[in-house]
Amino acid sequence: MTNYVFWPKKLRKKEVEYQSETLYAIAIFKNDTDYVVLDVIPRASVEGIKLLEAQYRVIAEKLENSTQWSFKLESAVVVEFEAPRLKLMQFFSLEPISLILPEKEFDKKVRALKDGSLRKLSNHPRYQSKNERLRQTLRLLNLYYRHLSRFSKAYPNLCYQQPSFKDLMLSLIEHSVLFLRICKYFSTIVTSLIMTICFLAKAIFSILNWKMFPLVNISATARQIALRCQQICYFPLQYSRIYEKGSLKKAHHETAIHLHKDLPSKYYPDYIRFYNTLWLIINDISFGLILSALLNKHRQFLAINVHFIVNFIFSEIFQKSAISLANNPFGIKLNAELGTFLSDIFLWIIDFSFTAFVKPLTTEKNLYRFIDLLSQITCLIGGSFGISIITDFFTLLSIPIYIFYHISGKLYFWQINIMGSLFYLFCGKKKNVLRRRVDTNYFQLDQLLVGTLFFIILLFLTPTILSFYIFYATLQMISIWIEIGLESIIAMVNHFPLFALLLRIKDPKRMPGGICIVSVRNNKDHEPIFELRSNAIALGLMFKPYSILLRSLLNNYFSIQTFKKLLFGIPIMVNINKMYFILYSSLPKEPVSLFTLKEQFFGTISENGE
Amino acid sequence: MTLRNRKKSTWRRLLWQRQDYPDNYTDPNFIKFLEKLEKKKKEPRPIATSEDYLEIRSHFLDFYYVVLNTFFIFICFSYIYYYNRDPLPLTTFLTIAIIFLIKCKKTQVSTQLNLKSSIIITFMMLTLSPVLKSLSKTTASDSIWTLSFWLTILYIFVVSSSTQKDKPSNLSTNVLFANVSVLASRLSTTTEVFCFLSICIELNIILPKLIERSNIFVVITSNFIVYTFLNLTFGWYHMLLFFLLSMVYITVLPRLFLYWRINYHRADVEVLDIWDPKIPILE
Amino acid sequence: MVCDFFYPQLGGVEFHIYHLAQNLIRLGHSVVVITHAYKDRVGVRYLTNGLKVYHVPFLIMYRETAFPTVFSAFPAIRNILIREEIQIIHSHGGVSTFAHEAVLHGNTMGIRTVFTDHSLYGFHSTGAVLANKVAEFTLTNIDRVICVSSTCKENIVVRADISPSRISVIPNAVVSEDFTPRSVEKTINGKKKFTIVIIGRLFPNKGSSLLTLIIPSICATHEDVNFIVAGDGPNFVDFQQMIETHRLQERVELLGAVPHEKVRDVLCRGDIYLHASLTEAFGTVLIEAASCGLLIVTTTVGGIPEVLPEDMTVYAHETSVSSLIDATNEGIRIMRTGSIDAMTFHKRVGKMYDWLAVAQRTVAVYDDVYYNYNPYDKKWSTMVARFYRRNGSWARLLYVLCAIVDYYLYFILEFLYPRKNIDIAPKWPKRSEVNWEST
Repeated sequence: MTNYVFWPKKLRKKEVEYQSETLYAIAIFKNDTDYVVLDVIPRASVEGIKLLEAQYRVIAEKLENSTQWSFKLESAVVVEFEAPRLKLMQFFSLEPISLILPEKEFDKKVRALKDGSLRKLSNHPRYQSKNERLRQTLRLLNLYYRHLSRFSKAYPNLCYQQPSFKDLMLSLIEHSVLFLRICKYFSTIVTSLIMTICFLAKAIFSILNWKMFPLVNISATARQIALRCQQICYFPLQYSRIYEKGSLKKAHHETAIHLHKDLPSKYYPDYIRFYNTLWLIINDISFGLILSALLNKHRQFLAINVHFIVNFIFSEIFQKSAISLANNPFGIKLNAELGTFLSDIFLWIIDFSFTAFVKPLTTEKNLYRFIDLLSQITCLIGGSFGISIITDFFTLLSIPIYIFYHISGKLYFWQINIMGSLFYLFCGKKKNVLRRRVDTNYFQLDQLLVGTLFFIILLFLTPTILSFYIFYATLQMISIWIEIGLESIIAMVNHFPLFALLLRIKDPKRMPGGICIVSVRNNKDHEPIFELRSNAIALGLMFKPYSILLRSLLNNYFSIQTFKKLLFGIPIMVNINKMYFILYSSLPKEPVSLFTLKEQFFGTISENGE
Repeated sequence: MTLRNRKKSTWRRLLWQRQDYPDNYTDPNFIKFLEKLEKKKKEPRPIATSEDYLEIRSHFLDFYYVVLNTFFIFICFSYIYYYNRDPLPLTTFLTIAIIFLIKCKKTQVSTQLNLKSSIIITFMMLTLSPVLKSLSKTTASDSIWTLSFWLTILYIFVVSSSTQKDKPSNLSTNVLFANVSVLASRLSTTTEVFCFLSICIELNIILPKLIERSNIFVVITSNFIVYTFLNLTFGWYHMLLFFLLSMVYITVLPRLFLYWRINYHRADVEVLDIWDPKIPILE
Repeated sequence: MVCDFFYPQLGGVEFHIYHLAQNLIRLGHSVVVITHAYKDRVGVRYLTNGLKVYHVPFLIMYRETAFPTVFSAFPAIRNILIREEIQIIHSHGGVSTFAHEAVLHGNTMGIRTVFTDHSLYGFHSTGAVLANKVAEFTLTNIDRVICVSSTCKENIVVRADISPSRISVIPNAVVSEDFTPRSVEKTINGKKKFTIVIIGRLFPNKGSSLLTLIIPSICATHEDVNFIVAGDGPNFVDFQQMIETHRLQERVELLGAVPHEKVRDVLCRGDIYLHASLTEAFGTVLIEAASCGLLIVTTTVGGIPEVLPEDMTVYAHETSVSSLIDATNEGIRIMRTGSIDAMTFHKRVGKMYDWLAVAQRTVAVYDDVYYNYNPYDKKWSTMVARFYRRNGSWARLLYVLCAIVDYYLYFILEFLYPRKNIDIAPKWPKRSEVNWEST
């Protein structure tokens, strides 16, 4: 069996330093891990100690002035690594770090179902044992510095590390009594304040999500407010998860005491998520400032133009098209009676909606006021709110289109359905609704004749209804796409993994996406030396919620299925809230209950008090 | 001795018994059959009998009658649309004639076409005639003619390919009626539409059930009507052309077909029936 | 072995290939099956006893048949043939594109080819004529043809115009252990209910229109006769309607599609097996039914009369409703009087049909092909000349053209992917080598 020896890169320097002495390499190992070299120590210091603890072992020896290590293990393979610094939150991990809450791993279930056999294979003990060993070894590697310091504490004469100044200062502050007392009062006040805010946010959230009339399904602004409320509710919990109970610091302590415990990297994703959200909110507000300034500057121009465009669309496009659809559009001869009837209905709806709300909403003066208000809101609470108000405004204006589409869609659907059943009759078949199958049936002569007559009549009416349907379905699709475009801008602002992205640029080791082992050079004996490297998380993985959203958007609004739905007259609805949900990947499904929050806080406070 | 005896035992056409013959042994009867087949290929072609000819001609004639029958739709249509005649007397006359015929015959048709359904049909046509009339007002006549042309082709195809003579398939009736109602949508008044629909139903759907198509009296009448119509509408040279064509079709084509079948058709096809799926006999 | 139809699809041809391959492996031969990819089943798979299956990804046209292109599978097939050191190609099924292509390319590469036909084709329908032309083309240079019945053999002689001596008749067989009769007789003196079983895809050519008329009539005349219909198909609805119009829900059981391993259980519930097929090359299901101890009532189409001895069957000599009803009545009478002991059928059928015997007979064909090998046969000029000597003034030119194009392709492939660059696949260890496990 090959023994893998993990060798910190920094020890190579020490080797050169102690070139002239005989060196021993001391490694740590546990029964389910590989060897990890802790330190190289000159022979002179080792000789003072008779016995090492069971987990430490001298595994290699290098004679003076030689460059060759002779291992005491059979067939040892050296894998070098850069020891991860815990303080900088670096670590190795087999799996990519999760930026999504574990319970929100939406497509995991699907995939598990899909590759059932693969899962079976990966659960097989033989397959897993290797993986498990590597995992344990990585754990050891991640705590390299802890182990080293512990080792040096246990054998102070072997190596000595100076405690840093900062650590000393911190411990001093922590132990000052006065500080503790101030801290306690202050935190009580802050906690009750936070609790009140959270309660308010929760109340607003539940109003917006009221089951009888879920406002979030209709309005983008409501959705945006609900999102913020949810985030506010979640912040304290997230924060306390990172900094208080089971916090980073404590985890550091823990690892220092019980070395076998898991390393604090468990808490890193939370940390990243928390700061990502915070950063996004701040970003959103600064973005809002820009937007508001722009709106403010051009409000005159905007008001005039929007007024003009809306008027143009309503009076020119809608009205004229409804009229022209009745009068042989593009030279296609339609049924005059039905065409006039339908176009009259639509004209009436246009007239009604225009005078009822579109016209008053889009007078220049009102628009001017609206934009003014918009710029102020944007300035105060962020750009995403501005965009969502615009979206809502657009939705309001596109209500007539929605009605047109529904009317013509229903007509078309009936037409298609009736023609389908009559076609069965044409072929001497009958659809058996009870048994869901197509029976052969010998029809009576009168049934046949009446059926055929109706079929012919409907056939003559088809082009008319079809042309109306096509026109309004296209309009509806266009308005849906515009809405989706606006929504995706909001989604971008709200959920862009900005912090994670910057972190990845700054220090890829903090965002591990698995490991790789590369052969770096050859030994003197031509034995290869490997290096363990951390792969930075893949960009695709960071944007996974986006890609999933994009795919589902395409599936819902731009696919063969959509086309089929359109073809059969089945209505296409926007249910952004449902899809948008995917992006709420860093938030729990329900806002955090106040009870857990309270427990979290008072638990920590009492702990602090002790 | 016994072994030889066993060897001598004749080969039987059985699979469940292992026989002392190699797997690639061929049935001697089959070899004879093959030889016969070969011989048949080489021997001079049989001379066509007049019975064969008559049979083929009757098939051809059947198709001719179908075409003639469908002609009546267009004759009626042009009678109303082109010549602007009042269709009412003709409809009344036909209806009375048909009721008379039904009473006389008392066949299966009378049970199929009871009072209830005929009333339903009549009222349905009465209510839908005005709708039908207005449907294709804006459609160009040419597109209606084209549609009607294709429907006619389809109808002829469906009718001539249906195997059961006594029970025409639903499809053919439907296609015919579709054709009729498409044409009816061209007419200008409600009465005309109603009359046209009922004439066509009576002539093409009910009448063929009552009388034999190949009845000599019926044949002469229908031929006479069609040729008169052609003469009146398109002029005598068109009529002559059509007459010549149909003559060629009735007399020359069957002979040609017979000639082809004897000389060019694979002679052994009839013998090779044995491997075709059997036709189920449904009694 | 090459065929479009193989596991995971189930059917007569598929089982034939599987059992034949298994028994050939038992006889110490190495068998590789080439078929097209079924959904996610792509690449190389191993079945029982190391039966290696290549699922070649290919466009599927209709009812699991690969898209018919004459040459497109050549690269893949050539690669497999070389990789597995194939000596004999054995193609199955007259409508399988893969089978035809493999024969053509095998001939081009100078490998001996054998073809098994499983069904009968007529001469009157357009589809059959097309299939006949294709068969004529591929079977021009075939070394041996195996047919499942004498009728089938004669059919292919006429269809593809090949010498009868090159055709062997080797029937299908049945895994006797899988079709044992039911153990306990359910008779209660005199009050016995009879059950008639019908198994098969409900297609028009399986006589489903006949069956929908026979079942109500039999039910009307015999109070104590019930039916079980297993199988699915386009005529399934007709059966449902028949049951509803005659109110036979209590007496006719429609099972729908039944997996092959359940067929035995269905058969064992009955006493008589009714087969109304309008065309049949062999009728494996008849042997299966007989093996389960059922009396067979059947039409006499195709190869059916050859399959079973007279005392196990009642024949309807016409494919008419009355003839079949008479035969069924006769069958019911026989069962009532108990004049034959159907339970002895199992042993007898087991002796008549055995896959090992089939495999041995097939091996004899292979041996014949392999050892009586005449290199002249596989010379390209000979083969092209044979194509040229075919009937049909235009067809034969097309044949020659295809053959020549195939040779060119072969040259191009030899140049692009040289033979020496293709790895030889290691063979699955022979049974004798792993025998220590069983002893």
